[in-house]
Amino acid sequence: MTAARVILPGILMTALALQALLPKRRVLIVTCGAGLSCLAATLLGIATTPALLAEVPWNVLVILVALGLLSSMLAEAGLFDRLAVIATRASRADAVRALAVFAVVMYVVSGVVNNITALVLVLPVLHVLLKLAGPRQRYVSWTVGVLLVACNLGGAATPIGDFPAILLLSGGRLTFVGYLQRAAPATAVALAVLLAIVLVVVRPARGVARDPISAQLTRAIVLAMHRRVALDRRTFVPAVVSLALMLAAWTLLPASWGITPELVCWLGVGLALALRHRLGEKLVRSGIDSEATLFLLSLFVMVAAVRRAGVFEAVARSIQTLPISPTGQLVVFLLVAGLVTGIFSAGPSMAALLDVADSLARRLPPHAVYVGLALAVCAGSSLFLTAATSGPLAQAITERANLRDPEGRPLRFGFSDFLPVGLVSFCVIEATAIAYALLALRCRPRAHVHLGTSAARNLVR
Amino acid sequence: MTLPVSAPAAFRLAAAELGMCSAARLFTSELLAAGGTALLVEAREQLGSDYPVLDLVLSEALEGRPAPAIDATEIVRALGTATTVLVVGLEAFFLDALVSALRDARLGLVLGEGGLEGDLRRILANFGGRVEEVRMGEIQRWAGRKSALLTFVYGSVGANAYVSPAWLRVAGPDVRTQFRTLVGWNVLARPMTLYPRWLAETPSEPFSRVVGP
Repeated sequence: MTAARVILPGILMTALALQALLPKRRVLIVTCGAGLSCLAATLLGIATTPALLAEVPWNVLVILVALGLLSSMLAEAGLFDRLAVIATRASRADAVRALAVFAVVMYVVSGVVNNITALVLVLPVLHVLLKLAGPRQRYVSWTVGVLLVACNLGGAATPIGDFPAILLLSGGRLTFVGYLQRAAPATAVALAVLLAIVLVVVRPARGVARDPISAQLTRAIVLAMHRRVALDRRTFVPAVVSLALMLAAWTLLPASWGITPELVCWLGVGLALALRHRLGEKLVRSGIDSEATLFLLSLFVMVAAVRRAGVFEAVARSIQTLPISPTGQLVVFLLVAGLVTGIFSAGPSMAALLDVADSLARRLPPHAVYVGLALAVCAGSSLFLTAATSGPLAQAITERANLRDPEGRPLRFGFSDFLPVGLVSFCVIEATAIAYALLALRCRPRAHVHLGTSAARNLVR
Repeated sequence: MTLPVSAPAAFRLAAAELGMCSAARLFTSELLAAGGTALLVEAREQLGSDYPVLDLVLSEALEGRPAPAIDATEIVRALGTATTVLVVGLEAFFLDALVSALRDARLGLVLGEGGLEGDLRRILANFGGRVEEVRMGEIQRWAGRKSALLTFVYGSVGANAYVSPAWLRVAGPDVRTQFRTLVGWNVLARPMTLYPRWLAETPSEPFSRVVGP
């Protein structure tokens, strides 16, 4: 083992552990970690800083920033204030119902828009309900945590919901319909199982007031807070039309045109902002979430250094040389994919694992490999708060909400608060991924595989 | 029926986003509907000392005098021909009535920092773009011969009135001369009986007029 394979992963792991221990300094910690990774990679002769920066998946950051701006635009239009009223009425301001209703809403919304967008839209509404419900730490951790996992599942349910699925779609590995008809039912089952475990076994609402007076007060206050809120159609229509055009482009444009998802997103959001140019300029100047962007950028730099050290390739080789059947190799691969994603986050690990998946897809049904991979990445994204792109964002939004329990003690939503939710969710989704893959392998002769052109060419090759 | 354990936090949030008196009116009517006067008594015992405006509104309700309907007719008369009205402090239900009554006036809202901070974007969203956010440093831009300053008054004792702390920062001697009129809208039926926490005491004399019950 070379020094680079020890030092560079060591820097990454140390930075991840430190930011988990000191969440209030997390951006500073990962930024310094990224700088140290660049220095170590340069001194060890692994890569220069420009080379590491060139490996940063800027497309993920472009999508993150652009959809963040679109969500701000939808927020300006008053959409989420209307959602607040609808969600409050649907949940009847009851703690248990609120958890389930918001999780299902987030699952559905995340399938259509980026899960970061969905989270930015709905989380402030949930915070109001949490504040009014007199929450406990356990309830806040599980409610916001399950919401995050529902976002991840919704993102994995459709080929346009989250970046890993978009990667599969844009690379021509699976068609839109081929992915949707397999991933959507699997993720819906995972969500149902997770909700059943949380609501029946974990019961996080224990200790939270669920009396009718509390519910009545909560409903009355939320309705009063949004008493005259109307949807601003001048802002809402351009945002929604742009989103619809983006969805159509992501779905219909052939990959061979080279119009990538991030370009579609860039242009689509640019169009929406240009149509409301005054508001658009204001949002571009002040509406970008620099905290989450800088955090991810630093993470990507550290992961790029680890990749340059050959750690990911070593993992791929190890899987392919395992003395077990291809089915066993797939199961091991899905487990490794989940764990690697948990540590390195979805974007970077998906990019690294796709090479391994392509080689497995030459010997096994591609949909079993790719959809299984998407589900395993979803499981990994749900393992730690830092694993999903939306995790640090949810943490920041929740910290800003300044939640307190009935005794006035501040409530947190940090790495350790999310961990129990992450472990349960990881087990449920990872089990779903493996079950799906095994089922797909068993049904192999009857399976009708929708393959895109480039993937088909790869298979022929 | 007992008062929910979340009631203090719920009132605090409601007061931050609706204003003390509006939140007190809402709480009183909801608690009365849910648990009758017994719940009002309990709310007064538990929350009254922290929120004196709520204490007063609850005591009025317990004495059989529910909060009167909000009518902006007198306040519009007091504002006279002002075409620009800068409102200092928040009372959402009263502001709703004012916005409906002043169809052509330009309305600004100064909140300042009074210990309770609501989501300003959500607060303003209820006025359909009719009310603009005004920061402390921007107040001079709203001054003029046809501009009025308005704040909500929470009862008065002798020569003094109780107002939002933001009023003290806005209505200094130099600012007073730059506005056509300074109007107070008394939102309480009678003076508070407890220490006016969250509020500030100010002389009533600078007000051109104080309108209220």
